[in-house]
Amino acid sequence: MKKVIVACGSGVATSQTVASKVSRLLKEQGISDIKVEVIDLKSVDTHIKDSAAYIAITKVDKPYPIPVINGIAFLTGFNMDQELQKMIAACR
Amino acid sequence: MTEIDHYPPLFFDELIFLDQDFEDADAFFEFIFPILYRHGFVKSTFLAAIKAREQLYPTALPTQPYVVALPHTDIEHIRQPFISVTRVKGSVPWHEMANNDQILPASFIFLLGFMEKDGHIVLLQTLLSCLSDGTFLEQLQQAKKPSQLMNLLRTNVKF
Repeated sequence: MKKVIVACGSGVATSQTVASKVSRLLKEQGISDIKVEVIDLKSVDTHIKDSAAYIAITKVDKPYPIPVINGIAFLTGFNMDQELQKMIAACR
Repeated sequence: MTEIDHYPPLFFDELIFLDQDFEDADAFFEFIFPILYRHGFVKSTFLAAIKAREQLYPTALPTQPYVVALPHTDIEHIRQPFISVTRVKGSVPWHEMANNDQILPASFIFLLGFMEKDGHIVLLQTLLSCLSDGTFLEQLQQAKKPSQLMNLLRTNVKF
């Protein structure tokens, strides 16, 4: 089971919404081996090690060893499929 | 269908504003804070908290044809959950979510006041899918009175 992480500033609104949207999209595609986990922004570095991709909803200031997916796409719907495919590819 | 029972109503007549003019995000927060405080929606710590949160993690979304800002802050500053909707006269410069250097012209401000983590995901998803629908935004833009805006919200943002 691959893990994908989502983080936002407070963890109260946007990250949860994005995580639940991504989970639904994965389910619709019949993908069940990817787990989307909401985490605290402060613990991104800890989770990077065992995650396949990072869905960012805040500005990313430094490079990460795993693909960073644009989380805003899942909020606005623009380029959403493209970002989803990028994420799925990162998990393969 | 069933979710509606799980949430208190979040839209309030006294928290819908049309065609307000603001210089920037802070001016908006200073306008709305006394109203939210007077009606018992937020604590006295809210104003400083929302300003700081917005600076760190800005919230304008590049929706089309109108940009929507979705400011929100940590749950401990909220007394009663709400969503306040403001249509701006023209637009107000607002920093883009996840791209803090970019400034977008926000036409709508959906101020979110939630009290529990995970508590409003269904609602937020519905709200976001409405806001990414240009037709819905155009209807909000064309509304003549706050009551029309309220009807649009209540009929479309169902949860």
